[in-house]
Amino acid sequence: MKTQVAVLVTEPRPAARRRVPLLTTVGASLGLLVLLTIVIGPWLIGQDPYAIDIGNRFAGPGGAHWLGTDELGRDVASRIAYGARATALIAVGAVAIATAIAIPLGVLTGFLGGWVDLVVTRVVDLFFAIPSLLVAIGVIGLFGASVTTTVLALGLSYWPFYTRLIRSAVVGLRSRPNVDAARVLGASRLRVIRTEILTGLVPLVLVQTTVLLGFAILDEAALGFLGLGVQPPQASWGSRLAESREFILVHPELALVAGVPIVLAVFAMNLLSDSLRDRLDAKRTG
Amino acid sequence: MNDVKTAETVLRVRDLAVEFSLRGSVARAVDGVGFEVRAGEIVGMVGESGSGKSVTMLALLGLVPRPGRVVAGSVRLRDIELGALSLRELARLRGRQMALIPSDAGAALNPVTRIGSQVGEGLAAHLPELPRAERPARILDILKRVGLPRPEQQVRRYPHELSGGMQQRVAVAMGVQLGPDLLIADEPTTALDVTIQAQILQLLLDVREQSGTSILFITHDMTTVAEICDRVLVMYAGQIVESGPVVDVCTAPAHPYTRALLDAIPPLGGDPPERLTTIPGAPPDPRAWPAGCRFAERCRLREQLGNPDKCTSLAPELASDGAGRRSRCHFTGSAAEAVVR
Amino acid sequence: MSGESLLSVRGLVKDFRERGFGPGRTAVRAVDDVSFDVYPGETLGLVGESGSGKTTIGRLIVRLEEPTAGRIELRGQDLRGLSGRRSLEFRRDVQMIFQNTQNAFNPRRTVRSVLSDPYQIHRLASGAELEERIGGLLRRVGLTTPMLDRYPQQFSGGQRQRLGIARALAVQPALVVADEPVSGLDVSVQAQVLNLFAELRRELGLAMLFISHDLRAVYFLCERIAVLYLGRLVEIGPRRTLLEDPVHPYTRALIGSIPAFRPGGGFTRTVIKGEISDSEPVKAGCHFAPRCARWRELGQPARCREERPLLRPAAGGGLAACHFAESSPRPLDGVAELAGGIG
Repeated sequence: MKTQVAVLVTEPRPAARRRVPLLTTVGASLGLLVLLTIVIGPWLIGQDPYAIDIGNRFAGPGGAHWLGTDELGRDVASRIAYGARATALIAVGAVAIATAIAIPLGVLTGFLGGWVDLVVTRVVDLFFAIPSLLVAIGVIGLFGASVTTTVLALGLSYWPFYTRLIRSAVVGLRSRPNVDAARVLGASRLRVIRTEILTGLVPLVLVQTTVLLGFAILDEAALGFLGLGVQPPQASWGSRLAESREFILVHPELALVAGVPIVLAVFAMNLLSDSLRDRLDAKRTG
Repeated sequence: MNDVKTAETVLRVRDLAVEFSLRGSVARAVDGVGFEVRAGEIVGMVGESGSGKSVTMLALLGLVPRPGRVVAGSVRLRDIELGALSLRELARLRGRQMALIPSDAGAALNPVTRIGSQVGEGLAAHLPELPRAERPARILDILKRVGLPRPEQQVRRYPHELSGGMQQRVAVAMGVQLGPDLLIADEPTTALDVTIQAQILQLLLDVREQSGTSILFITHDMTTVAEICDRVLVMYAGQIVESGPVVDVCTAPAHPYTRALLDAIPPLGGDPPERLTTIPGAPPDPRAWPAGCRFAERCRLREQLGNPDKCTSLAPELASDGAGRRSRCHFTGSAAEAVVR
Repeated sequence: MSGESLLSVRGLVKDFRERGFGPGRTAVRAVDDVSFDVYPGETLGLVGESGSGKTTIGRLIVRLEEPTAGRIELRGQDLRGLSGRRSLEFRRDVQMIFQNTQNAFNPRRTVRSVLSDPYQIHRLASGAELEERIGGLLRRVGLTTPMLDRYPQQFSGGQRQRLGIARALAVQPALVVADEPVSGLDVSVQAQVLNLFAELRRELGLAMLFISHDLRAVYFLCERIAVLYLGRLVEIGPRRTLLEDPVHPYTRALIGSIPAFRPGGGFTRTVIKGEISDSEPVKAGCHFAPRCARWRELGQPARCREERPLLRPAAGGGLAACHFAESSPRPLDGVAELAGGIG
């Protein structure tokens, strides 16, 4: 019943430009804004994020201080911009660690199956059973709060779920006829993994990377808010949130300014992951 | 069904056209399709993928998916113009007066609802006047009629616990339980093993025999059409290219496409040929149908006639011979054709 | 059908265990003591309904599955426990063509990349020579070189099946196992692909095991046909004998249920009652007995339920596994040999 329609839709398409969905445009624009903030923001603002000016505390926006100053008279705009660098570094680092563990482990267990799968999957389940925040707090408690430990803490709390995701995707890919075809041609296991499995994981990994980046930004902020993340005076979105917390009743605008970039960045990542998913799915069938 | 020719018309389709707008281009998937189905008649609709047969079927059911839409034509079931109905009225009509038997019953049945409740849903929706207490007996009755073995046990089962053949029987039961005027069977046997295919076809024939239900049988398989249909419509590139009584069309096809389709069937018995007759090339792009005959590029008759310009410059009409056969070919039955044969 | 056999299958058994661990899992016998030969240049058709085990036999032969019991020999050499290098050589000898689905190809790899696989794995060609050979391969199956940079899902069903054929032929195998290669294709496209098979077989001297539920396609292409029912071989013989003079009641029913193309003849198919899944197969006896018309005609003899029928020479040069099939008094040489091998 669907054949006809499918045939119509899957006609080899000419180079005609595809209409970009509105939400993708919004997501990409926001993402670009965040990227610009990270790369040229500090330079553009031209203020020292660590310069304390006690005489000029809680100044409103305007003049040299675009977004005003904080409780120590530091420039809020430049603290956000420099903080973006730290937060981005943490997010990318955490996702990199999770990916570096999840892909090999997920591919190994999903592809080999048998007792390797059974043993490793149970171990993963064990980690999975520990709340990720607990893992993060444990790591930080062990090594002390810093950028490096935050990266480690988040990376270690993401890998179990990511490994399970990769594993189940590999189990699906492994039983596809194209894997049989490669085996019949005499391809070694490594080659099958390289040509048939890893290529098949590309869409999942792309989508998950964007999703996880969003999570990581949010979690960095949460850890910062709890005082477990990046420590003041070092700027990050999380530490900025923690600093503004104390004055939330008197100067709520500071918390707002600290929160909005987080919301926008996470929103951008979610939109981008959604549109990536749509696009890659369409490519798979079309 | 001897009185089929004089029987009243159940379904009348006129000039049906369906378009799909995709990325700025418009594909006219169904282009001016018209035909009738009379009471108690089994009409085969044959075509390959892209011929427009499935979209035609969806249009009859009012189920053309976006971005497609019916842009012209009329579909009348008895004396109801379907285009004039609201979605709600159309939904009421489907199931009661017109029912679909899907090609893959396993996918069409709800996986988390027991067979009995599933069949009962149709009763509840379309026959609310039937007392609730009488439903189970009615459900068992219909399942018995479609030859489902041990229906008392099957009603409590889930679709995945049934074999493909039994699922298809349940689908037939759901289609016929309200005594529709028209059954639309969409490749109902394609996914089944041959021995099960034979059972389901026999069942459809029985349904027609017992209830006088008309059946529009959509398929790509000419051999099945030849054995169970009264008349056949051959579709190519969004149009009907030939129609008529099955025996006539299958033994003396008027349109070169029909002939090619029949020739492509591998013969069974005797010494097999060195090679099968094939149709060269591929069907045209629905976004840019050719100006003349849509089959011209692949037509052996045209080649044998020395590629007359008429084929590529002038679109042939679906001409009737006055005796119930129609063919969309400039050279059908012409002296020229007699010579090349 | 005399001479050295290319592929020889003897007493092949494959059990599939239910998923999980530990005892108590029931095993399903998908292939039950099957024996046959494929001779050089010959195409053998393997027909049967779902659950007949035909696909499993194909997968066992190309070693995608390991047999539970029995031998598979290629040119007299047992395929079990081949070492790495010998195993790679075997892959060059025996190839497989898969059912035409989009999944037979990795949607993220271009045709060029997919068709490079066989040459790279077996170190047959690289660089300009690789390019040249892929081009030649593509032309051989009726496709054109500009298609090399497209993705499999941009092709039509027929074209994709040509790609599947090209992939299998790259290593110049002696035997090709084709699993439902034309099902799901339109009639006219199916005819094109069948013609391509016939051509390639003639030109390359390929032997083929052609697995299909479509008896018309099998009849066109295969000199001999083997019929399977619930994992067992019930009849095997030359195509004309099998079609025109089938011996086994299941073969008769199967052939009777194919639509005969006789416009105006009406619905003349044999409708066998029941389904494969209906009854638990009688392990000891004949699997088909519960549905067998002949068994009922004969007054339901106990022998059919108690004793497994073995393949015996039948009239017309074939073999059939039925206690009550009329057997031929003088079996042909090759057949007798095969029958002895199974005995």
